[in-house]
Amino acid sequence: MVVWLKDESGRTVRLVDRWTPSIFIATDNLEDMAIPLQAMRQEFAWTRTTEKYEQVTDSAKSTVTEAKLKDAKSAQRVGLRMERMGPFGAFRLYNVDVPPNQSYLYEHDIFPLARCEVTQDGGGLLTWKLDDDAGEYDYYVPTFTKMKIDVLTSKQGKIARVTDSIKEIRVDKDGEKIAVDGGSEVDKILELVSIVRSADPDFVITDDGDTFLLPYLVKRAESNGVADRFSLDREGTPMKTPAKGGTSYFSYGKIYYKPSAMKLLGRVHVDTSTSFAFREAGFEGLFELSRVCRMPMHTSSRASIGKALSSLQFYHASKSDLLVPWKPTLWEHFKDRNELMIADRGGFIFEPRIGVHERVAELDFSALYPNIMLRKNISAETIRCQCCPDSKNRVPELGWNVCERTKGIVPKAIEIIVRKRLRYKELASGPGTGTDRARYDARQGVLKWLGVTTFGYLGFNNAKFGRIDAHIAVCAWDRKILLDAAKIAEAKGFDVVHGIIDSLWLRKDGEQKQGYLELKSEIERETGFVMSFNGIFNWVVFLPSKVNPSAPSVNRYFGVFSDGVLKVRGIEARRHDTPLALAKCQMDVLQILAGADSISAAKDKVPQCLETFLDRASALARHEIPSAELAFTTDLSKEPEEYSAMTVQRAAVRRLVEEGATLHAGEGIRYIITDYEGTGSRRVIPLEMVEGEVDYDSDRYIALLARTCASVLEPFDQACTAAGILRTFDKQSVMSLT
Amino acid sequence: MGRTIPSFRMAEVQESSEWRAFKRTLSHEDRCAFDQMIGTARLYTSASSLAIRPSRFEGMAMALMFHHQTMLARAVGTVSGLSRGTPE
Repeated sequence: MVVWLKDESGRTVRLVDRWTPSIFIATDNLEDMAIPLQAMRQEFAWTRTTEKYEQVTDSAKSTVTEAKLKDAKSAQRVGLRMERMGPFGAFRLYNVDVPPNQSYLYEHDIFPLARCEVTQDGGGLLTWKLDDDAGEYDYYVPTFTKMKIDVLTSKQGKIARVTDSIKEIRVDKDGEKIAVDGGSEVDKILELVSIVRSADPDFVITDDGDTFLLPYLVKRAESNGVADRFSLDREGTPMKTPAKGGTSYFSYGKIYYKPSAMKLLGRVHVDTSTSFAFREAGFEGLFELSRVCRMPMHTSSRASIGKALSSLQFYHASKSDLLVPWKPTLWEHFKDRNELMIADRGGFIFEPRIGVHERVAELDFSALYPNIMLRKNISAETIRCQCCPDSKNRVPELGWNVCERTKGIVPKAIEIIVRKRLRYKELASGPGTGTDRARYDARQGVLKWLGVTTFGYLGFNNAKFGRIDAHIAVCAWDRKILLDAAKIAEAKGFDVVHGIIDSLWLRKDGEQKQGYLELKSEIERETGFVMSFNGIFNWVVFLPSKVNPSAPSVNRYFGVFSDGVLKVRGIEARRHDTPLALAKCQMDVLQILAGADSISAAKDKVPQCLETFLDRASALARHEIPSAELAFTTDLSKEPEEYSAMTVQRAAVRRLVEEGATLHAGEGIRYIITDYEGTGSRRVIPLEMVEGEVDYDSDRYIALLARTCASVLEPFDQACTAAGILRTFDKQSVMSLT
Repeated sequence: MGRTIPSFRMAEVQESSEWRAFKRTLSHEDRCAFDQMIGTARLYTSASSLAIRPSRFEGMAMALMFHHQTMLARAVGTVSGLSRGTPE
């Protein structure tokens, strides 16, 4: 295992620990292990029997075989071979797919960025003395050097390909900008190698580095015969494209694409386009995630939040002598039809009352789901446990018992997330400097996603410690808590205008902030869960469903709090696929409406809003809006060849494929509509193919702009439908012609 | 993970689509009224979901009956008010 450290003087140190991971094998009869272990003895440094908890539900340890691998990368290959040495299920394998670098951190109880003391013995083994705590709020972060790399290609076609030569390499070294644009292509490649070597950055940042930039540079180095000299890491290893391609995966109804990682040994390569943590919370988020979840920064910068959460659970499993199953076999408890109908439901929603409402207050439970898991001890092994049939902790509606004797692995793992997030939120709104507050806010932001994912992982079939019954229990608690809160509010004369999962929108004639705060306290007392009072809206609009206008939409609303702050959810301005120009116009209209402190005042502002629409529509008609602001963003829901109807998305895909682009399901594309009524692939132009300004389809964009403005104006003026708004533009156009 | 039991929101959509043949025989005007009626059931989706009935139609039918009852009571109240205010 190679470990990179920063010593107290800021010097980078490379250490090698003579360490490899272990896998664990369980059988019903230990004597059955003799033949396979003998047959595979070349794979193992040593084997021994040890006592571990085999399943998360076990109350006693079992005797299992620990096999120390000779090669850290061989775990899955060895596991597969071992599994085939007996009938199905004869050998149960554990810790096979835990990444070795994470196992190293768990086993030595250290984490990335931890302050520690290390000594190396004569045999090459490292001994660690930790002087830090992953639960710390104010921890020391070394000063890192960072370098951003970007490349411009001499495009032969419309889009960049690996066969295009390098036009220019741009390097930003902690603010110092360097342009490498002179000499041959070989000169540029070797100049980059030289700059990186002399600057010796800890972090290399790229946009699209995994998908395009670094594989492209590798290909250019190969084409120019300097592949063996193209190295950007600290070990001087020539860079190669990964043997394994990227993968498309499905999550929450959407397809995502994850490219293979381009790692730099001894440095951390952060690809901003694939890094969830970096995108959400920058370096502070990445540091926090790596520390809390005990994942190397290279991995955490690319990992989904679910992977990071799994790492945190693996750490707690390791601390509790619990093995991590390679192929989880924790099945759902049997339910008859009636029980299944009660159980298989989500959190509670009160249908919103469609329309505009005045003086509505918003209250929500703070981190409700993580707190339910923590406080009610919800975990795969604690629900309907064998040891506490008479437990007083029972799941509402279902009556299932929950363990009172042992804390579950999920509550154990989530404790640090809940505690640190709460504290960071306090610090972010406290008296510190702006920089401090931003740092704490970034850290709490990344922890929020961990909390959200914990709930999802309870019901995820590939989660190592998940079980749908635990997921069901959290939802049952949510329904009870929200309904109880609404009952308390109604008993006090408040009207429930809307409620969703952990939030309530309440109204009472003439009620002021103090009244809502008193209600909040009473709900907290009765339910035992902490609430936040978010404010009173001057006005708030709950929108109808787009498909069925008589039915409410539960997550599309907007309003302005009494301090003038807008809250916008689910409408076009919040959607990532909306072109920037349309989103900006909608937000400008909302800002005008935000100046109104009542519904009638907002109605008076509609003409001013229409002026804004007319202004932008005229600019569109005159082609004055920059093309880049008109790009739609969409993620491919299937592979390019699977598209059949010639939608605008398919037209964009076809044009990109025609230009030689390789696309996968889950990858994002951006395009501008050039001829919406057309039939072929020329209906659109992908953003990658745009040179200069585009002759976009202004009629289509004006129609879409009218629809976007109608979403927020129609609730105040029934004449402001998309068609109605469009007519005002047509009238204005006619007037300007005459 | 996929759900074994669809949410009541999804079940309502399925139930409505299974009445397509019924809807097809109606006049244009009646088809609009039919859609409006189905839309009304969606005002009580959460209540229907909490009721936990084996037939999704039961939840929708109860929602419609309840809505009609409240509308009727309101209409009766309005008419009574009007008749009280009308000079004999």
